[in-house]
Amino acid sequence: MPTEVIMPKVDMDMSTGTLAQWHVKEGAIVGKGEPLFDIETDKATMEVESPASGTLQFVMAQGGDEIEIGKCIAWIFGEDEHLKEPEGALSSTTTEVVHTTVIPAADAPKDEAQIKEYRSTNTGDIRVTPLARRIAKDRGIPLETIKGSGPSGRITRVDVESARVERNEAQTTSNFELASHLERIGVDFVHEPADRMRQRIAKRLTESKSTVPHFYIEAECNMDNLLQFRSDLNSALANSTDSLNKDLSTLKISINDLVVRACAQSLTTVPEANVSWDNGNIIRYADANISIAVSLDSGGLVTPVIRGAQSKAINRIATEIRSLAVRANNGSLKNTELQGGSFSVSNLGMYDVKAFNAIINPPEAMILAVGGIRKQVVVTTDNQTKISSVMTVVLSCDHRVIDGVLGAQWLREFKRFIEQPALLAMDLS
Amino acid sequence: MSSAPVQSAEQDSVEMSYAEAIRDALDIALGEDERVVLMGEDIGVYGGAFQVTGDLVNKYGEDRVMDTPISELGGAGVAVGAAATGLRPIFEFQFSDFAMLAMEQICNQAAKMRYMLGGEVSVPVVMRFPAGSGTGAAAQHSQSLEAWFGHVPGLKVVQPATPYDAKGLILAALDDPDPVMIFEHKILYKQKGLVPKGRYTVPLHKAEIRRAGADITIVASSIMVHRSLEAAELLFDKGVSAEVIDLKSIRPIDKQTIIESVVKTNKLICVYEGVKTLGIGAEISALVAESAAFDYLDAPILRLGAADCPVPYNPELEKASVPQVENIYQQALALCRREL
Amino acid sequence: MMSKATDSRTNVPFAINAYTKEQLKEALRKMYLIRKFEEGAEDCYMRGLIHGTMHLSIGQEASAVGSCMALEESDQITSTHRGHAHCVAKGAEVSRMFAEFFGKETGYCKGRGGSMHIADVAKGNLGANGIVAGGIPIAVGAALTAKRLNTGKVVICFFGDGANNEGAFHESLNMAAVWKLPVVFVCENNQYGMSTSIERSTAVSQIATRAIAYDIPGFTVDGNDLSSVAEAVSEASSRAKSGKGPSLIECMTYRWRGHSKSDRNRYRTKEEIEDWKKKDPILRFGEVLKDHKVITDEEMKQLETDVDKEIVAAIEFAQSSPSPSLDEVTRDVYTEIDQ
Repeated sequence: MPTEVIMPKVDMDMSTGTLAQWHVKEGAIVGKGEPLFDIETDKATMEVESPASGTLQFVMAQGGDEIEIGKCIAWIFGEDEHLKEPEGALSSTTTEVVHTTVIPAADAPKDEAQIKEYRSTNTGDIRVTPLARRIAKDRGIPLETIKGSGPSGRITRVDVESARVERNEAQTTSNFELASHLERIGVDFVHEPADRMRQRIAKRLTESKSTVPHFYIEAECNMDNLLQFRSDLNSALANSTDSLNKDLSTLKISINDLVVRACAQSLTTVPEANVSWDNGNIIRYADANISIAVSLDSGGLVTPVIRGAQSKAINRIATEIRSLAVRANNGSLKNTELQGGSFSVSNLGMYDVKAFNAIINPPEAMILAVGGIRKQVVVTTDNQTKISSVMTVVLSCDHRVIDGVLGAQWLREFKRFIEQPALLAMDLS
Repeated sequence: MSSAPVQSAEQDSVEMSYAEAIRDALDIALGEDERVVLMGEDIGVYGGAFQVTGDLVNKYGEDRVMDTPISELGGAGVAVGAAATGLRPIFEFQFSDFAMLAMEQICNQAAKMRYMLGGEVSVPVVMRFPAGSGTGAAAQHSQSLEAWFGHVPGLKVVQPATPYDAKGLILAALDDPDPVMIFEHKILYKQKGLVPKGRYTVPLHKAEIRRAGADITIVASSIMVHRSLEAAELLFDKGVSAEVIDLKSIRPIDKQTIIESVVKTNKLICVYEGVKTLGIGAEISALVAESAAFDYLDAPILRLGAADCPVPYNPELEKASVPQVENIYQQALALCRREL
Repeated sequence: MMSKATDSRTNVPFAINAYTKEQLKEALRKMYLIRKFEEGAEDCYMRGLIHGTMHLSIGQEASAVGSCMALEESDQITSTHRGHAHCVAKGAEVSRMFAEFFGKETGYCKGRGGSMHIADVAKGNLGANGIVAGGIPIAVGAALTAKRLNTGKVVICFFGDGANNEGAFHESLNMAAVWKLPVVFVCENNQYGMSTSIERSTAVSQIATRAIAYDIPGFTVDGNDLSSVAEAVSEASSRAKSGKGPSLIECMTYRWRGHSKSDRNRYRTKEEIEDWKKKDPILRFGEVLKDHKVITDEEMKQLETDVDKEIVAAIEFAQSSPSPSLDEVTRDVYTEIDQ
């Protein structure tokens, strides 16, 4: 068997070698250990000795060729060996001369677009701590609007916190900080985690109060007619057990039911107010979808929606509100019943509240805060005094879509429906 | 909120110095296990340069409390070879600075042997390094080189700050199958503390919150733990609640304790006695920046380490070259006041 | 210092009297195995099948085999970067050695060590070492263990002429002497520390004379004569085991190949290399065995053929063995313990 001559590996991290020159011509005799050829490495030229004694044959590489290490480049035939081309010597193990091409660095960006992609997308020249950046992002506060108090105007957490319109006690800084502060100043307290509903209320209303520009309009409604109207309705229902079904004959219409109905009528007569601000666009609702703030027995608050209230009669509204309230408390409201409101009513009348300002329930543009009914001396149109029942309502408006006049127009309509309740029976849609 | 180490009430504790606590650990180890030998320069009849081994030689004899020639490389290597073949040597470098003569055996041999040999051997050698400045011994006897060793995979590196930990970490190191480097602080040798009698161990991989706080995290090791606790007390008077973490181990570093603390306080200062550049603080800063805690940082991370110079001789210069209580206090306060 | 070649009284080499025929044949087989292993490794390296580098000890087989012949299986050795021969001599399997060179999980170091850290702890080889003189203090430490735990073991510490100028050498000899530890320091003097000759690097003409400084016995022997090596190491080993402490034995030998695979042999002449090849330790030992009727030509040929087959099978085993999992790159940095 002839002996293979290979391109040997002679250095660490060497994958190819350049054959500098043969010391022995093809067909010439060489002794084992005699110089056979030279390799050029990046360090120097190195002599390779013959692996066997015999005749050099089938030389497959010439001076200057760059050859992969381990490749066969020739054969040495012993004296008694038959000069026959070794198996595959010239075919499968034929020396492949390696052509090197210049490959650009793998991480070199190919074009401008790619460079842009690699470039940081953070906020220009604004200096901000990672924590402050994160909080601002979570709360939707643009960094441009915050003034930094750190060195060179660096925005820190404190700056983001104080940038909010009003501090919400539940959300004042992190709970942990408050707790450790209280601990430090010796205040006794119990620390408990807030449930998800509380978290959601906190988040949603914080967002509303800090991002929606609120304004408020107050009105006082004379309730004498409405109270009479309600009393008439309820006694008529109670006296009609023979003709009405049981559900209807036992139904008691509440002031709140009538207030909701009045809101629906007002949204119908002032449709310009039945809107939402949608990030530069205005949504105009086709229906009066009225969210009712329902406080839960277990604490917390939900706002189920009566869709299309403008075309629902008083009794329909009343039964729907009863149903929503029951189901809100037993947790069986569907998600769709909690969405899609265009206007909210929040009624604290039963708590003997005179008046209050409500926070808009986004994305709605208005919320009506309804106070309690109380007796008061009023001056009649003919300048007489008399004792009447009155109710104070405060309308909160999103100034991005509702201007003062529009709010006032709507409130005037509402007052009209409350004070002339027969109109509540009409279908104005 | 306690700055004292947690003591287990059921164990009888006695007050002893850091050096005595180490000797107590060595005594227990020698008494428990025939394989334990102490090796080092002048640790026998002299009792050790810092009187840590004391009179142990009288109790256990010269065969087990072995004075080595002044041959740090050879001596450390003998300890490594002995550990790899069945003894439990505890090697004392007279000063940690002298360990530089033995880096080959520590870093090339002890640290790598298990890995190079495919897990076929372990090297349970314990090495003790009296370290740190404050003694006026100048540049070649005052260094804090722990970070050098912390850079070497295969080594474990701890820095006890209290007598309690000194004893517990040595006994834990002896139980550990891998090479453990214990950096003791020369200034702490005389510091006293309550130490339980008998055997107990302190985990080699856990940091400890020495003082809980809400406004800033101070990560420190060895003597810097004490300086940081003092600084925290001053900060408290200024209304700043500082959390002080005693690293105890710089390899491995207890990342979780640090990250959780930074998430809570949003600010971080690393305090260490080694040279500031390329030191422990750089590692801690980077691991925090790479972690989930990044989004909780509300200020730059600060490092307080030794000045970029050899430890000077002049006492005032010496003091100025490494972090002191005042530096920690001032820097922490500035950070909390958003001045940095 | 003294030279030991033959027993001056009988003119019969030490080994012939000291060992059985089977032991002597086994010694010859191991020398073949080392030679063929290294030639096989070199061939695989040149074909690019093995990466890194390697340091071949072709021409030095007698000092490795002669030294280890004097040992019990439970005795230990520390080795050097030129350590293939020590590993085989101490009883390692060439298949697992090849597997290590190929970086395979079945290798002695599970592919983490390679040629320069080849070890076989089970057989008492505490490992080759990439640091010149790195293993010397470790050998002394192993000897300390042997003495302290009364295991009766002796440790042979192999190192080259280059190591005798390292501080670790001197510190270790001193400590081993002071503590009278059971260790035999075997210096394989192959004349060159990489390219620097012993004449240009070492103040003494015989490294064995360094023993005087530590008041221990020192001998220079013909390192290409297996019997001389075995005789010197046996004596030193007995002395060590009897509690009299260490000895230093200098084996004069020569590496036929370059320092490593990238050596261009600029520092020595071809004539010098050829002269040393004439002192081939394997041929010499073979002749001795034939002269003393321990082995026949046919048996020798058979030994060689068997070794060739073993090498081919070992390379096949190595090539077909699994590679380490990349996920386990940090395995065995530390001992796994439950925390």
